[in-house]
Amino acid sequence: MAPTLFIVDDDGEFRRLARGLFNDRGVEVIDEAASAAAARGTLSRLRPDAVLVDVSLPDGDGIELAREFAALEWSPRILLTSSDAGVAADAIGDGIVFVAKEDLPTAPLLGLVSAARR
Amino acid sequence: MRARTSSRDDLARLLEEQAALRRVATLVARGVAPTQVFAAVAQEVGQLLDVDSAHVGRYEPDGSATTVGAWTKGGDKLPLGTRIPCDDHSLVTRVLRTGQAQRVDSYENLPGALAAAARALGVRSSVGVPIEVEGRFWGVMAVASRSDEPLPADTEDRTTAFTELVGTAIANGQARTEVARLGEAQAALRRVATLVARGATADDVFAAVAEEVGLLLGVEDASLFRFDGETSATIVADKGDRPPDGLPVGTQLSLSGDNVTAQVRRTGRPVRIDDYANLSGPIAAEAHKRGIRAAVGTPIVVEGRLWGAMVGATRKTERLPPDTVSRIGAFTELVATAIANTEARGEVARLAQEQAALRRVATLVAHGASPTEVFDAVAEEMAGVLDADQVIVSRYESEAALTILTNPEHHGDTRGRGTRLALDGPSVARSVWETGRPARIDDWEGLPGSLAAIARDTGIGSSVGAPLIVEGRVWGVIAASWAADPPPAATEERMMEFAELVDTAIANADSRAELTASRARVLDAGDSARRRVVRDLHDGAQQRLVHTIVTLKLAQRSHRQRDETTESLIADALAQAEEANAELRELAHGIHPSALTRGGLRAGVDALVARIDLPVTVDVAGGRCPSAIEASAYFVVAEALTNVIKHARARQAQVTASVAAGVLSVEVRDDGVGGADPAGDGLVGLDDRVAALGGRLRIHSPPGEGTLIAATLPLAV
Repeated sequence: MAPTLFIVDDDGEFRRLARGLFNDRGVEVIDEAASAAAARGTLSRLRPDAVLVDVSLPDGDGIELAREFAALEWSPRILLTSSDAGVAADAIGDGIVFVAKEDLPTAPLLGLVSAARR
Repeated sequence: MRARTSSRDDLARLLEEQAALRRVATLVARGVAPTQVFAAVAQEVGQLLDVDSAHVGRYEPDGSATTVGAWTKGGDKLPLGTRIPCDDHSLVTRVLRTGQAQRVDSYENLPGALAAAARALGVRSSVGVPIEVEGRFWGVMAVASRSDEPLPADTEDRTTAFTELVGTAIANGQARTEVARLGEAQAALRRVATLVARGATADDVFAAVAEEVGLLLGVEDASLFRFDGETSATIVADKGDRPPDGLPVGTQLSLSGDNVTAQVRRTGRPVRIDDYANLSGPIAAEAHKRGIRAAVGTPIVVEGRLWGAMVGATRKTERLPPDTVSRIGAFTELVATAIANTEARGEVARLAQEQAALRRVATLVAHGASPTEVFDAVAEEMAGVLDADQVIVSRYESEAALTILTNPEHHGDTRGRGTRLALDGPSVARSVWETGRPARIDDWEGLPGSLAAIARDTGIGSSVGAPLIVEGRVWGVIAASWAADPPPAATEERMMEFAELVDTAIANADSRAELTASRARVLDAGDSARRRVVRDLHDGAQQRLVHTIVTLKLAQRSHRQRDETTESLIADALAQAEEANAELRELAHGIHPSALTRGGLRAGVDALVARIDLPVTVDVAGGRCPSAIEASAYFVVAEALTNVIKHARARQAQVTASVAAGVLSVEVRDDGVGGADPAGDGLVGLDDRVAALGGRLRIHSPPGEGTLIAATLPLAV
């Protein structure tokens, strides 16, 4: 069964691109949101395996949101992304991984999404 | 019994007479004192005429005579200085009355006390001859005989030669005395004049004058009084024997009662009182304590006003000479000059002091000192210049309250800087607020309100306030107060000079504060613009470029895998790249349009107008200006047109720009709803930008009547 992904990014063009990218790699994109508020409202209901979060959201800090989602009850895998490559990747938190948007095409997306949480 | 003389006796007698005359003449020529001459003449005459006594008497103003020279055959004579009273029947009086020689051949039946005294002395007959000095009947020479036979008929003539010599001696003596006295007076005047010329203090001059006058007139007491108003006088000099509890210099006395000083005050003329017995008032009382019998006073007039009096007083019973007043006169003129000089010097010194104080405050203001520093400096300097006990600077908070800005520093006043006071009753501060002009209160008794109460509690007598006017309105007040003394002359005018300096300091500080705020806003606007650019870049072009990269990477993979998505991926990437390019172009245009850089203001405005959806008439002069001016003019137009589109609901707009007399003038008009808010961020930012280049922005936007935004920018810096 394909792992499920929820995309949170205010750029509609990117959401379209990312959906195509993950679907091609065997990840099922079940829903998307353009803001932190919209994401919070839907996430608990859908309980996706993983969440793709953009660092800069219109209504909140993506990093904080990533930590918040990582702590959710079913421990979804969090992929933090950004147009900038230089976002602090290392010590963001358990269960959070950073991938720059431009690296997405060559990254092991399926593995990242379905890797078991330690 | 005397025998009739023979001619030989006549000759002998003549020779004797000549010898006697010569002896007296020698004395006179040698310039011996008159008293010596009197004594010699009395003796020579007495011996020559072989009489029992010869006397020389000096007439007094009341018709009596004083013996000044005497000789008697027996040796016992009337003591010198004996007063022979005026007696209608007496020889002495008759000589004076008639101006001619007189004789009494028999005292038998003569009435009068003198005649009785003569009879008692055994005098049977006497002859008296007048002594004339410079046309005046000065005195009398009288010879008396106890013999039964009357004095010979030629006694008068023979005595006359001697009286003429006596007259000459006296005239000489008087002249010498007069010369000596004049010399003394001149010397005394010169001493005092030197003091005055050297700029001695008035007190020193007063003391010197009193001393010299006393010496010169031979009076025991000489004092100078300064009149204080109509009713009192202050002692400014006092020379003479003073009783141990006498009044010191500086004592103020009432001019009540009748005495020389009071009369001089009342009449403004010289006054002479020869008998102090019945005089009244505190000044007379002091005189009585010193045993003064008679006094003379002259007025001291300084620059036309009655300043005081010089008084010479004596304990002697002898009357003061009649010319005493005129002799004091020269001294009083010197005193008046000294006083005028001292007052003038004082005035000059005061003016110099005041100018120095004003200069110190002006320097502070010019160096941009803070208003608080200037307030404190003004309070201190003004207190010194006006001799005030307290000077406070306050700012009006409203018509009903003010805040104190300086520390009062007056005993009993505990209000400090920052205290707020209510203007709840009459006060200098309230009057200044209401009239915008200086105001004064000289008596706080019975006035309601807290400020009046504070004034009474702290012992304030008079207060004067001067307004501080900034930008045409009453901003604050400087209030000066005096406890005991009245405010000095021209206080209001002098306070206004300081107040105007303070006005400038406040206006300067306000301008500086406004300038600082404007600069801060300009910097802030720059920072915000940069942040906006970063955000716009990030959200716009950068997103598109990342998308392009991702899509191209996918296209690469697709091409390697030879699947059909390559074509569409490349098309997608291209589209994203073209959008990124467009966004960047927009952004660059927003920061600084290339049309402006390449073609100047006209090109920039044309490009701007082409991008908006509103008919705009453009009449902008061609030609170039410095780039900062062009940029500011461009942004004025850009902001104005943005506002037109966002708010004005206009049908059309006009943009004009022209250069004249070194100034670029730009105007944007629209026919919309007007009511533009000049305090809106966009327009304040324009104002700051234009002001930073030394220009001015004007906004005219009455509601319903469209909007005009005009900027003038000087081309030369």
